[in-house]
Amino acid sequence: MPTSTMDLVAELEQDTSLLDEGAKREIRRAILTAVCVPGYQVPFGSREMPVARGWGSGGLQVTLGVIGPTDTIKVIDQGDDAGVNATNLRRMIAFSTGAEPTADSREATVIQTRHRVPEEVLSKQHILVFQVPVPEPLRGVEKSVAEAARMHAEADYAKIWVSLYEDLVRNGLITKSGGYPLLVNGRYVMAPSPIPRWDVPRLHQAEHLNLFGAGREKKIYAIPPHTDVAPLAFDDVPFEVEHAPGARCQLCGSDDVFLVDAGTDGGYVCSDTEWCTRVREKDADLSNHRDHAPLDLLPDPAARMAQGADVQPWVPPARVTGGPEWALRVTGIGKVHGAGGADAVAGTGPEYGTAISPATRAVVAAWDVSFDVAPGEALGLIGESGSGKSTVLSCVIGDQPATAGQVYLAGVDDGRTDVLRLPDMARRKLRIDGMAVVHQDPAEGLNLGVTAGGNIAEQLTAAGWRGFHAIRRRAAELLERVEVPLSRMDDPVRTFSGGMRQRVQIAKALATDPPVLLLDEPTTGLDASVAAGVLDLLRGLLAERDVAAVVVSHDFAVIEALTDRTVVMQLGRVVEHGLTDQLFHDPHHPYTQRLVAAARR
Amino acid sequence: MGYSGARGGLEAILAAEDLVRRARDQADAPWAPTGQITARFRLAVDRVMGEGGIYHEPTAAAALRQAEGDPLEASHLVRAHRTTLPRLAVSEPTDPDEMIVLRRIVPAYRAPEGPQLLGRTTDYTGRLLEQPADRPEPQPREPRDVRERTEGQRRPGRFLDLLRKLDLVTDQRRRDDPEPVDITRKPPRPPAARSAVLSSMARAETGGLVAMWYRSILGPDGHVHEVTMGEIRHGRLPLRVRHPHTGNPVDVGEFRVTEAEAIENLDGPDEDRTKLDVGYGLCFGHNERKAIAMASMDIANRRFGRSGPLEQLLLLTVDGLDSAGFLEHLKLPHYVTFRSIVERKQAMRVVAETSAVPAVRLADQFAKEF
Amino acid sequence: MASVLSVRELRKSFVLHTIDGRTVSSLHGVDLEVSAGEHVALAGPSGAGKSSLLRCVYRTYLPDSGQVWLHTAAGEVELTGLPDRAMARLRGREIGYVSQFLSAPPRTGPLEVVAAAARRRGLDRPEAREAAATALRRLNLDETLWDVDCGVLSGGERQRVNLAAGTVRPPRLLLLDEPVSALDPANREAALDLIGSLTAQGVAVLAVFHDMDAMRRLASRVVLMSGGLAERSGTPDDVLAGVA
Repeated sequence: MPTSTMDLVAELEQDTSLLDEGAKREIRRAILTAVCVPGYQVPFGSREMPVARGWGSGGLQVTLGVIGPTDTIKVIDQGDDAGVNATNLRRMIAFSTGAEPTADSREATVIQTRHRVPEEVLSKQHILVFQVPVPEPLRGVEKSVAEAARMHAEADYAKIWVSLYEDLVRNGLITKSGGYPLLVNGRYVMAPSPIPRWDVPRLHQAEHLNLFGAGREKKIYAIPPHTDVAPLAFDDVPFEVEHAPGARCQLCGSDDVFLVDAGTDGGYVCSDTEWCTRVREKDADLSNHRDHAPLDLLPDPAARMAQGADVQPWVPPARVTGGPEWALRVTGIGKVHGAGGADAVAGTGPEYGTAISPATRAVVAAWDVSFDVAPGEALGLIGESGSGKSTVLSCVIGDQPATAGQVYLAGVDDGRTDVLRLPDMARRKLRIDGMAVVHQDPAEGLNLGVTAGGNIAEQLTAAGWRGFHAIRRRAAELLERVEVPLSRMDDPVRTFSGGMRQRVQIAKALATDPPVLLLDEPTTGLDASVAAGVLDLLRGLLAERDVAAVVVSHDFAVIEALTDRTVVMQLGRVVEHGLTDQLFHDPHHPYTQRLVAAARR
Repeated sequence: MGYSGARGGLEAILAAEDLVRRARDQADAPWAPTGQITARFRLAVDRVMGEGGIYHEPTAAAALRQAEGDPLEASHLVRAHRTTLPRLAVSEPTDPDEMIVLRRIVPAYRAPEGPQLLGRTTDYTGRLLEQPADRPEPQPREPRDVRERTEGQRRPGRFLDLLRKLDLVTDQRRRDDPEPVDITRKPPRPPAARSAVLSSMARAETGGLVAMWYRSILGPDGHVHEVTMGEIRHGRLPLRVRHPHTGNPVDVGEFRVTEAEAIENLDGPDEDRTKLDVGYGLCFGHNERKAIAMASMDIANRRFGRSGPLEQLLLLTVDGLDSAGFLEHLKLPHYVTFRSIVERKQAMRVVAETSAVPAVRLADQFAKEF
Repeated sequence: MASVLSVRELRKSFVLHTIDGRTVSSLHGVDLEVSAGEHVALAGPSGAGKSSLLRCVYRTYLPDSGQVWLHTAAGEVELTGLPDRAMARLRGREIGYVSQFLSAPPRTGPLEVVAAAARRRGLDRPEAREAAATALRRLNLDETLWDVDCGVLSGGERQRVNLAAGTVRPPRLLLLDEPVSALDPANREAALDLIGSLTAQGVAVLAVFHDMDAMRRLASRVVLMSGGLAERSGTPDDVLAGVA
């Protein structure tokens, strides 16, 4: 027993371990969490290792966390035991832990790997540890880590589906190569480290434990044995593994393995050098291996798009009837920017000529705004800029939290639940098929870098659509309806004019046939003639689909063209409401009369 | 099949290591002892201590020697060494007001409380290359005034206190972040506490942080003005731990830090324009560039961190080991993934050659039906 | 005959806030009945309140006081106090309003405008198109114009579209405000025929015409308005004799 701190430090400095025991315990805790929640990236206090971040520092920590002196360790890089990186890691692990090094997968208990799953079919004795450079499967579609974390939490994976859709549209096949995104256990989308697609099916319902360590990004995740693993793919476009027709290993003759280029003279060899050697030495279970090889997923260009012809048009489900007569009801919405909340309201509003609280200097952007709107009805919300109409809309949508008030949707719990009190995730889901929004700026409602069809696909995949051809067909119908030429369906929205973008945004909002549609200054950014066309379109759509619409605008012409009833707002309050033509011909409130006089000018 | 089947790589590695050792350790030059390095390459040692996150000059000096003078590689050695050590104690919070200043300047004020103390700096020395063949002769100099410094000179009052007295500063002392986040144990991810962002910057690669600061002024997503520096200090602070038996705080050593306070002129629509904002920077050793960049980015993060990518950039992109490690991993073999990429390229060609209708015009198959 | 429309003590004035808050009076307590199959024409000088009365019934103007009762399939409904949404629905189903000017949405064609009106009165899409086609044919609107933008039509063509929309799938109550003012003699003839046929089908009509001839020909009864009041009511000959 050491007797002093100095002794303790001296002893520790003799230690050959690369990680202190406290760190190993932390890593094991993270691994346990990862096994319990397959595919979920567990953050951990990744330590600096004697190899660079990106050189397997994550895999090394995981291996050191699970390995002991009685274990047998195999390390491969690109499937090769003899590569410099594999060699370096193997000697480091063996030296610091006392584990026996091996190249034989059958002897190994822990296999650390970069970019491959060994060809040998692994069993329950194996822990396969992957070195992961980039653990985030959503990185390509979402740069913000906070937003990506939200997407995982809410299983909101529409964006990555859109990237697959776009890939198919642009290239006629999925071009994602290594590190193909997987859905693990039906819940989390996961990056399997850059293994080839060939190895992906071999993780499904496997016997062995897969652990993934990302040192630089400080994440550990797992695929436990007997777990469902599905590559993200549309139902009607098969997932494909790598294949070159007629290719065989030049050394062992195998055609059911992952092959890499043999050299500059062409030809292929096994990437798994150990397997290749054992096949040649007749020391391999070939039939078991073949049974587990993904030979049913070889690319078949003829089958790839074959299922498009017989896609039927989508018929929206009938609207539920019998609930409240309104589809959307808003009661007492208020929004105060600044201190005081409801106490800041006194002394503001039209009768005081200000929205600024004399008590707290808070801005009372809206207060006590109530309305409801029924299926097949369009309600206008008019007022000058600063009147609070857009604030009310964004509170209804949930883009900003309301200081006061409730919002009910007939489609949610028969209109008995205040949707503003729903958890964020449930509220966001409402935007998909409960309450769609058309923004003034198409850039807010669209991803401009994505095609017109892809933008609609985002809404549809968010609603759970998984048929590529069904999505194509629905998108084509919608674009046809909003008069976007189908020849533009596969062009990025960025290349569209303002009016066309707005049409695409409208098509996207209507994709899932939502019962409620909220329109925020839908024609304001457009030239007069273009705006007129969009108005016509909206009027037609509102009449057709029996939606309940709320139209926010400062422009009486827009309100007159689209709505039956109108609410007039000034300085955050409702000052008048009525039939739209009545407000235009017989306005009562001085403010409404001023608006009408200005509109007539 | 045994381990012997996989020896090819090992021989190459051992040969490479041998080349390094021979050229470095057995070079035809006098050995550079650790004291030599700490004395003559003080700023490099300080930088390695800051980026490596360990305050121990001999360790940093040994790392620099082993890394052949590459500060980033040296920081990596230091941090990997740190990984093998257990935590024996956690120090008590240090109050920077206790600092005994070695250098202290207040650019924002002509005559602050306490001295404008230039200290050991080459700021005002012409950058003229000296190429002495041998150790320079000692300069003859006047006997120095060795008067003992007064307490006010050793520990001058803080310029910020004056601004506070004048009620010119927004109060950024947060009550929701009382215990500093230990970023070595808990990976910081946005949204993060201010202390996590400050810790990330304190360990940042100096050049990376300076580049981010400069980008925030000149780059496409400008965030900060050219701030006014309230105060820059280099000095010594006591290191205290609680005695394991008595529970009393005990000074067990001291360490040098550089501290900076940057002043921003608030002008945003939601900001109190009658006030100034102050950003804070502190790092191990003498590294004014880093401390100043950190103080500026502290303000920028408060103002713009969440409205754009800045917070994520400060948390995730300024660590030298992260960025350099990821860059260097590109040197590793990638022929499996590359094969997978090439296979798809070839498959795309097949599509292009066999398909009568170009893939990009898939829409047409529906167009006919309307 | 059963009363379809009862107007009681209807008053309407306007407070013009934009012109120093002055008040302009329009109706001073109008009483009026229109029965099913009855055509009541409003006569009187301009400014007498004829159009205001139509608009108050249709709720384009919100009356100050008084009542407007409409007899519907669901019973008597008082329109001045009806919630906006209920009024909007009632309009579509039960009340046709044909003004002098077409207020068709831009870039929509006559057939679409008329079919939309028919749908509001309860027809499904194919039925509505059928009914719209019949209505337009009856008013002799050239079939080549059915799908062109209403904006390019002549005044007379627009008026016929308007009339077709107001009368297609005849509503219970039809309000006409100078519906034939821009028509040439032949088309005017067809329009007046159509309006006349509606009363025969039981539609209650309340109309304002600028020409005596149309009133004499169509009206079951003429109400003479003056100074915002219904001054006299009687047969066309009785009432119009004194006016002409």
